[in-house]
Amino acid sequence: MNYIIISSLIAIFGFGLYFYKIKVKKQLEKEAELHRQARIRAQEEEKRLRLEYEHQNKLYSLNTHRVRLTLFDARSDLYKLVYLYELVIVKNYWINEPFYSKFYELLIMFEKNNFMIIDQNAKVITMNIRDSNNKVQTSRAFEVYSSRDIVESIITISMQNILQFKQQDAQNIALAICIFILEKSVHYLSTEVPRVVINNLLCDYKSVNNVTIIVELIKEKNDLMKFVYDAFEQAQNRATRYPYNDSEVPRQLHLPQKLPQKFLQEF
Amino acid sequence: MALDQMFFIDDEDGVELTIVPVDLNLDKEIYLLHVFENNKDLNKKFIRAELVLVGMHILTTRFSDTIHFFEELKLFDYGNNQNKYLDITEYKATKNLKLKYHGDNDVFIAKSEALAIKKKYDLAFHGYSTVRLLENEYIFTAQTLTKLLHQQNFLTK
Repeated sequence: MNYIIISSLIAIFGFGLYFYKIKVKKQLEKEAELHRQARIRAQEEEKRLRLEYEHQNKLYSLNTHRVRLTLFDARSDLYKLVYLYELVIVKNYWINEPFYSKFYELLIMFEKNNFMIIDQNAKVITMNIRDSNNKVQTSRAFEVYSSRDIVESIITISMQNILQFKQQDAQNIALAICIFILEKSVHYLSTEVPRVVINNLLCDYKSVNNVTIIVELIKEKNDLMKFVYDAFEQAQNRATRYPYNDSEVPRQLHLPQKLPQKFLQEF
Repeated sequence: MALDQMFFIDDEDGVELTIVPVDLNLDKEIYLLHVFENNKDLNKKFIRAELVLVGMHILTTRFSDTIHFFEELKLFDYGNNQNKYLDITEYKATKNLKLKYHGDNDVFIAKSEALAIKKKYDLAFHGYSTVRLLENEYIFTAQTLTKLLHQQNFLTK
């Protein structure tokens, strides 16, 4: 009888131990499983992150260039007026025809010719000088401004005001300023720039009437265009004066026959 | 024109020249322009040219012409129609000298004025040797003279 009890107790103990072992084993397996899943998740996360990272930095080579347009080659045609060209045309993107060509033509006109504006506030001294043949020649001495400097100064000073008008008007104003200065300029021997030349410059322009009207407004110091005349006086105060004697041999008036070629270039 | 302004110009040898105006008659605005060369080594001034300025006109730029002008002034009514710079005119029985130039206003010089001008002209040379002026005169061209006038703000009011 005791034998049976002891053996059954041992049996029960044995089973208990066995079940305990299984339980522990199951727990361990569960934990291992959890660990494995965690590791898998971590790996997947890492993979995803890496993919995203690579995705971001991936550069695709496209077949595109910087914008190129057919434009005049300002750097070779103009030298002293390049700054003005950039201020008026490049900054405002005013490359619409016919304004672009007309303005460029005027710029070349100023660049190639030595136009001068006589300083009205200065004295004119007449002198009798004996030349190399001992003959007495009479000549006069003036103080002049370079029209190039003046036109550049006026447009620089009044650019803000000009841009307040709508584009068409603003472009006409820019042209009118150039014409206004041309009318005030002389080209050697104290003769004025011929009216014919000025008329020819404008005759083929679409809005020639508007431009002429604006020139008249500027000359009358009309309220609307007063800023131009003020800029003109400011420009005269700032500009360098040069001496000029009218016995100088005059150079030829260089009239641009036709405009230079346009080239495809980056803007 | 400010009488106290000195004018500079460089001639071919790089010598600095200065102009000093001497007023001979303020009513008629007749000035004598001395052109000095400043020799820094010897610390001396030499006269290099003499010009006559009347109003806005420079009548003479060579010393011989300048002397001619003043001799005509000295002659006054003993001159004749061969005068180059001055005409003898008569107004209400008084003789005057009228300047021959293409200016806006007529310039008449009275007898006393002529004498005074001549006296001051003579005084202007005291203390200076005219040797340099006679032998090595600085000859202006239209360009150099214009440049000079401009440099000294002579042309601005």
